[in-house]
Amino acid sequence: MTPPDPNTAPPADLGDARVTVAAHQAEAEADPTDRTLVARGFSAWYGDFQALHELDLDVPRHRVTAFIGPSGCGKSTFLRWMNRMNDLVDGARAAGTLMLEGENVLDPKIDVVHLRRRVGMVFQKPNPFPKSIYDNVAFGVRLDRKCSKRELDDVVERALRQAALWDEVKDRLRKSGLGLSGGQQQRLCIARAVAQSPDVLLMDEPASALDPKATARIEELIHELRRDYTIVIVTHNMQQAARVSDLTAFFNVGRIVETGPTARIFAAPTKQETEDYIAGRFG
Amino acid sequence: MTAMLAETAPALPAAVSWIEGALVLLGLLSAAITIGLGIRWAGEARGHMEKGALICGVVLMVVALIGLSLSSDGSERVAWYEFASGVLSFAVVAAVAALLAGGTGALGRRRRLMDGAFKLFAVFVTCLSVLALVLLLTSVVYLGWEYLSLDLLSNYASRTPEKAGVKAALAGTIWICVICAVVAIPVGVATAVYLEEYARRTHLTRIIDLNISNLAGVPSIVYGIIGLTVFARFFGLFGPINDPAIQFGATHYDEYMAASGDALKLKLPNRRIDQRPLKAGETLIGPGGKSVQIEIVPDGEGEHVHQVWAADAAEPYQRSIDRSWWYFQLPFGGGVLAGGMVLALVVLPIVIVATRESLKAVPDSLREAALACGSTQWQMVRKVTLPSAMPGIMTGSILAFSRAMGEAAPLLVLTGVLFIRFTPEHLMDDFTAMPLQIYNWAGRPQAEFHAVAASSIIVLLIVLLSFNALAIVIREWFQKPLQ
Repeated sequence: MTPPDPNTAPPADLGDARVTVAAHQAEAEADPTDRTLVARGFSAWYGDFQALHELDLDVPRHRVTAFIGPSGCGKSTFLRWMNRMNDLVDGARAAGTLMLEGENVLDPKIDVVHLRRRVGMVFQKPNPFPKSIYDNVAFGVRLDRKCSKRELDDVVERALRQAALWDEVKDRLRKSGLGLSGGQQQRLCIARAVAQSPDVLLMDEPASALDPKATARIEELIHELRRDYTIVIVTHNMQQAARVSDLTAFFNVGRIVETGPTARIFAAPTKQETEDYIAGRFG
Repeated sequence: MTAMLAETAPALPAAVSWIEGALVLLGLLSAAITIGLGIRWAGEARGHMEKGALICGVVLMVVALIGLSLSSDGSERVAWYEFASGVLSFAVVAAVAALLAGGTGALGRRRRLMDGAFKLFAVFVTCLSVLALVLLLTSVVYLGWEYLSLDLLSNYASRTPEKAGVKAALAGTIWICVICAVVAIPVGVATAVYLEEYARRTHLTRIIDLNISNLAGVPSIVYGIIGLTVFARFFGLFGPINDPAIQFGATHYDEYMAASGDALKLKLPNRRIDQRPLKAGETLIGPGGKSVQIEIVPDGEGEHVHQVWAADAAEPYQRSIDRSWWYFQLPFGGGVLAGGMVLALVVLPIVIVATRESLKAVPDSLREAALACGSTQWQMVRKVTLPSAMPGIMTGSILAFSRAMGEAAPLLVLTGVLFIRFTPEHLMDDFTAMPLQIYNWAGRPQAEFHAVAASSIIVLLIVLLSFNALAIVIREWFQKPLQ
C-alpha cells in the first residue's frame, strides 16, 4: 500500500474505505493521461432548453468518477449521453465532442447498439427483466452472438461473482430475478451490465432506492469493480461520492463548477459554490 | 311484512308461462337477497338480525312458490314489464324497510341512510344482471336439452328437426375462427407494436389512433359489406366469383351421364378420361336427354389414355369442377377465407387496443434496461416488451375470439343463409357458421327447430368456453416465467 498523499487524503470520517481510496488515488496520479472518456465543449439541449453548457471533463481509466450536484443540474443528462440513452428522448440533442477511446460518441454514424454494448448502465431503480436470474445476466451476451452453453455458464458465473451475487444465487439461477431483494436486484443489474465486459460502467444513482445495508454492499462492489472497469456514478449522496469515488465533478445549473480528486474536492474545494453545496447550504 | 308482500301482488297473476314464472321466482329471490343483506348490514350496525333476514328470505321463497303453483295454468298472458315493475317495486320496498330497520348508528342518520341505500342499490343491480344471465342460460338449457346429443354434432342440417345437426356449422365456425385468429392476431399485434414502440407521436399517428378506437365501435354489418366488396368480389377486378380470373388447384370436366347411371367425366381442356375406363360404344346422355355414342381412340401416349368424342353432340351434359384442398381463386367468393378475414376485420380493433394497453403497461425501465444492454429495437421488443405484455395480449385475443365466434351479421352479408351438407374442404369452400345456423333455425315456424336452435346455442357456448379455457391455460403458461 502506498501511503496516502497528504493532498489527496480523504477526510477522517470516511471509515474503512479510506485506505482503498487513498491507494487508488495514488495509482490514478501515476498516469493521469490514461483516460477512457474525454468531453470537450460538450453541450446538450432538450428542445430549446439548454441543459448542459460547454463541459470539459476527463474520465480516467479504471477509476470511479462521481458526478454530484443539486437536482436538475444536468449530471444525469451528461451520463445518459455517454451511451446515447438520450436518443430516446424527443428533442434531445448535443454538440461538442465526447470521445470514448478515441471515438466520438456523438458521431451520427456511430453504431449506437454497439456503443451501448461497450458502455454498460445501471439505473436508479433496480430493473431486472421478468426472467430467470440466469437469463437476466446472459441477456446481453445472447444479443450479439450464439454461444455454447458452457461459454454462457462461464460468463454468467463470472458476472455474478464480479457483482458479488454468486454465492447468494448460485443454487437458484433458474428462479425469477424479481424474487430477489432490492439490493440483490440491483447487483443483478450490475452483473447484467458487466457480463458484456463493457469499457465503461455508468451508474445513475445506483443506491438511491436501497436501504443503508444494501447501499453499503453496492458501494463495496463499486470498489471491487474499479479494478476492471471505468466507472462513472451519479449520486445525490455526498457521503457516498466521498466514499466510493476517486474523482468528483461538481455540477451546477448545467455547468461543471469544479473537478478534482475526491478527497481534495471535499476537503478543500476551490470554489465557493462547491463549498456551499458540500456544506449543505443549498441543493 | 304484509305491506311488502302486498306490493308483489301484481307480479303474481293467474296466468304465467314457466319462463315468466321463473322470472318472478328469481326476481323474488334477488329481492330476498337484497332485503337479507340489508338486514344483515343493519344487524352489523345494531345487533344480531341475521335470523330475521333468514326468516324473511324463507317466507319470500315460500310465497313465491305458492304464487307459482297457483299460476300454473290459465290463458291470459301478462306483459313482461308488469313483472319487472312488480319485482322492482318489491325490491324498493324491501330496501326501504331494511334501511328503516338499520336505523341510526354512530354516523348521522342521513349519511347512514345514503350509505346503506347505495349499498343496497349496488347489490340489487348486481343481482339483476346476474339474474338476467341465469335466466337466459336456464331457458336455453331447458329448451335445448331435448335435442342435445352427439347426433347433433355428427348430423348435417336437415328438413326434419330430429335429424338436424350442426356438423357443417361447427366445422365452418372452427374454420373461420382459426383463419380469423391467424389473420387478426399477427396483424393486430404488429400494428400495436408499431404504434406503441416505433411510431413517434405525430398528427398522422394521432389520426390513426383515433380511427382505431372508432373502428372498434363500427357495427359489424358494415364490415360484412366491406368484406363482400373487397374479399368476396375483389372490387370486380378479377372477374365474377363464379368465373375467377386467377385460379389454382381446380380441375374442369365435361360431364356426361352414362346409361348405367354413372357420370363420365372428361378432363378439360383435352377431354381425357381419368375417372374410369370406358367401353367403346357405350351410350351417354347428352344435352336435352339426347343419347350420344362415344368412341375411344388410343392417342399414342399410353395404353390407358383415350380420346373420346360424342357421336353427335359437341356440347357436354354439364361442366363440372373438382377443387383440391389447396384450391385458390382470386375473387375469394363467399368462402371460409373471406369469412375469416371479415371476422378478422371485426376483431382487429379489439386486438390492437388490448395489445397497445398491455404494451403501455410494460414499464419503460425495462425498455431502457434492454436498450442499455445493447439491444436493437427489435431485440428489445421480441425479448422484453412482447413477453412482458403477452398475458394482456392473450386476454385481448381471447375476448376478440369470443366476439368473432358469435358474430352473425357480417357473415350474413357475405354468404347469406346457406343450406349446407358438407364441411369446408378448401379455403374458398362455401360454409355456414353456428350463429347463422342458429339464426336460420330460430326463424323457422316449427317449434322443434327452435329447440334445435337452443341445443346449438348450448354447443356454441360449450365450444366458446372451451376455447376460452384453452386460451387462459396458454396465457397462464406464458405468465409463469414472469412471476
